[in-house]
Amino acid sequence: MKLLVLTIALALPTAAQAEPLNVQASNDVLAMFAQRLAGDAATVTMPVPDGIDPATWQPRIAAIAAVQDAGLIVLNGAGYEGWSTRVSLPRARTVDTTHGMDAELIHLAGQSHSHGAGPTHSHDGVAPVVWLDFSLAARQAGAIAAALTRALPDAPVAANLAALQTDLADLDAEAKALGAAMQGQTLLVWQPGYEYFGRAYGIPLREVTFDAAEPPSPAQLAALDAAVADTQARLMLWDAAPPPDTATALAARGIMPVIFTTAANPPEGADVLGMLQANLAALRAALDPA
Amino acid sequence: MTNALFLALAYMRFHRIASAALIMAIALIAAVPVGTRVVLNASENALGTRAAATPLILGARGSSLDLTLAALYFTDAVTVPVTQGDADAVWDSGLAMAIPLHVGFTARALPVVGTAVDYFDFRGLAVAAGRPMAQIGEAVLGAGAAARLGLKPGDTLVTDAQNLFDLAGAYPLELTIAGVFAPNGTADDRAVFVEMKTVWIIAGIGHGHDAVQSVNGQSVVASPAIQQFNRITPENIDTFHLHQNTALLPASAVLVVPYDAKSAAILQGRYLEGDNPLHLIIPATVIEGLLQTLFRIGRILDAVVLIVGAATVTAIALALSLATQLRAGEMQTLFRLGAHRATIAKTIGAQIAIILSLGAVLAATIVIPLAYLSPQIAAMLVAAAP
Amino acid sequence: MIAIYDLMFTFTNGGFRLAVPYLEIAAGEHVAVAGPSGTGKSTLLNLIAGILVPERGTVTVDFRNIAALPDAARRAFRLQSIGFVFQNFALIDYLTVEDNILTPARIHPVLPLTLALRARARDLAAAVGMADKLARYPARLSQGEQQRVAIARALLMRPRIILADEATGNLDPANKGLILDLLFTQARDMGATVVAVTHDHDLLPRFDRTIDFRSLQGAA
Repeated sequence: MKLLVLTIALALPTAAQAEPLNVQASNDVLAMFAQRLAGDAATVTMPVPDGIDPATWQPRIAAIAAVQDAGLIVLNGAGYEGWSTRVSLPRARTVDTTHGMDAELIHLAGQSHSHGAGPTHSHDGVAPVVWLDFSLAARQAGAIAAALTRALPDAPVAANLAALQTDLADLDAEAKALGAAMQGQTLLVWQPGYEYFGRAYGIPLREVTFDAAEPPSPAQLAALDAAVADTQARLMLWDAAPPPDTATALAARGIMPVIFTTAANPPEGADVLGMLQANLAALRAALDPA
Repeated sequence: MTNALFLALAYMRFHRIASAALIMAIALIAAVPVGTRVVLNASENALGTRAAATPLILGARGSSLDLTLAALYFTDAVTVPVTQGDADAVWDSGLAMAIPLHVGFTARALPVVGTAVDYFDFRGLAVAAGRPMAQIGEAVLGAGAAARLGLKPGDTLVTDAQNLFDLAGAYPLELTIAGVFAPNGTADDRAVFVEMKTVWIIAGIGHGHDAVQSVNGQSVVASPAIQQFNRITPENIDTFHLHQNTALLPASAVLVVPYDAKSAAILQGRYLEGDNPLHLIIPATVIEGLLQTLFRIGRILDAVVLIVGAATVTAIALALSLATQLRAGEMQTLFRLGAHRATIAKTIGAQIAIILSLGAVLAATIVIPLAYLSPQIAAMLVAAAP
Repeated sequence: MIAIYDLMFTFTNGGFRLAVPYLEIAAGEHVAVAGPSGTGKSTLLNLIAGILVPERGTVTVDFRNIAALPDAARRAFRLQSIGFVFQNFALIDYLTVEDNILTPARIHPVLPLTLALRARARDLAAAVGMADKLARYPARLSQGEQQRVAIARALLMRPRIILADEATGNLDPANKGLILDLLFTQARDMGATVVAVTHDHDLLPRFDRTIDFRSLQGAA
């Protein structure tokens, strides 16, 4: 009898402590969503190495194999993961968070650019940074929640989703207020990636492509001048602080750079939601310096 | 009894050819019907088990049997394909998992099966060496295929040309072996698994280029000197593309795995109408019908074996009887020397018993390994391409 | 001692009747039974051996009426007490010389095949001049050699009575005498009685006594 009780007692903790679900997300925003939704029931990681832009990451075989082994693979879709067209992923364990949003996706003209020091490329067809439209981000979170509910039926995914969507709704409301406050002012953007933000919150955007590390070329400055002349824009969204020469050129033209990150690949340990909130705060501060 | 055995063995040793012939005949008359029944049962089991493990199959409306055999045993029997879009529609319904399958191409006479990695999870295929396929151009071999071809992870395998004179169609593609599955005693053991995108490249729907030119840094114009590759390498993999919308690309069949019984019922209702170009079949039902036909044939075979067996047993009994009669002089001698009736009977009986026993043992040496290997034999028989 | 009284045996087809009013053969005597072929001489030997049962009369061996014994007892008597040498040798074609000699031991219901018996078989083979052919099969032996083996077989169990039915009938003249002398030598060594059926008058002088078969049946 004692042996039976001991055996049961030893077995119970083991049954309660099931192995966390291995979730692989293609960028930090989606990783944050997945972690908030699954809580302790999942271990969420990004397969993209530090310092590499997830949008341009080309995985090696070992990385693909690690992704394949995941219990759930979270993708942005909308052409964000260029590598996904040539790799073999288990569809039953993969959630394309923009699947079914064909009507909401923004189609591009195919312009070349680079992300930071990354390679020059073009996102032919579709703009991928969907989550900056916080209502679409909420739908992405919903897609992840549906997949996690199937994989972790005992986890409080629904409750976690409600909390996350509340936070995203707050961001959406703040962004709408900002859009209203801008009263049709055009925002300059240093490269593509802000399309959904502009569309969702009624903010016209004008792209003037600059390099993240190089000083501006005369052609770039001429394009800037033309854009300012056309739009009277005085704010320019940057993913990070512009290079000194570029900052000087902007200041000379009365243009204030506003740090507005996509949060797709923030520094280690960064608070992604906080970064998105900081984006809006920075824009708010830029609109109303006083 | 020892002496009776001695005399019996001495007789058999002296008439070794006749004795061996009798033993062989007895062994065959026992082993052949039992062995065929064992293999037939194993085949029926294999057919039934594999069908039962596959809930539904979606395919172009037509022969259910052809569709089932193509989906379960990778036969090239399907003439009208479905599309990837048909599989996507099942996924999008939220009612089931849909695993596309493409068959028809071969590599050194073994079936090249285009599918998704979900197939491996569904069939419980475990990698014994290497890893599952990670990207286009890679293949994973069934255990039997790897053994037959003598290939291991890292080796390459070129698909077979479909038509020597098909200049614009499918052309051989060199595949890189990523892994080998552990044997599982099914048709999967003999297959060469690739991604659906890979099989579309084999079909010529997609291809890569070695050099492209850009005009004014904007539009891309292919150089007239480009070479269509038959090998996917790290250098050219990103140039591979498909020329059609993925949703329109062909598959031979789609394995449909409903999430629950209600989902299965809903799905079956959607494809029930006769004017729907697709139909959703239950492979277990199709195979059951096939097995009933096999069962009827099996019964005829049993009757034939019974008749032939009875004739053979009669012939063997006659041979033993004649042999005994030929020994009448010997028996008379033993009688005259004073042998008891039982001694004479034991001598004859021992010979018959030894012949029957050795025949039974020989039959067992045939039947027991056959029974042990019957699942593999059955898998080979049902998986053999017509 | 063999004694036959008022023996009557009729063949099943009813066409032949054997009647022996009286016959007595002393122990150790070597007796020839002579007469034309087809008169029942072999039948007389079969009656003495207990192979056949008379419809009337007695066949006693050492005062034991063999004719009255049941079949199993007659077989046991035959196995233990009678050594039979046949005209056609009757060797078993699938046994070697050694195993043919050992046949009586192999068919004995209780006697184990001991090393002593195997040694005796080899000794008998040597005595009949077949020591170097123990592993041969009968098909590879001459008629004389086969009869030697048959004699050795008949002597294995040390029988009290040796019955020889035309034992030299199939042998050439040179071997007839040799075989008969061999048989007599072995019988004398064991003290066995020999009753031999023969129609070969040249051999009769070698016996202690010759019984005329027709006279035997006619004596009253």
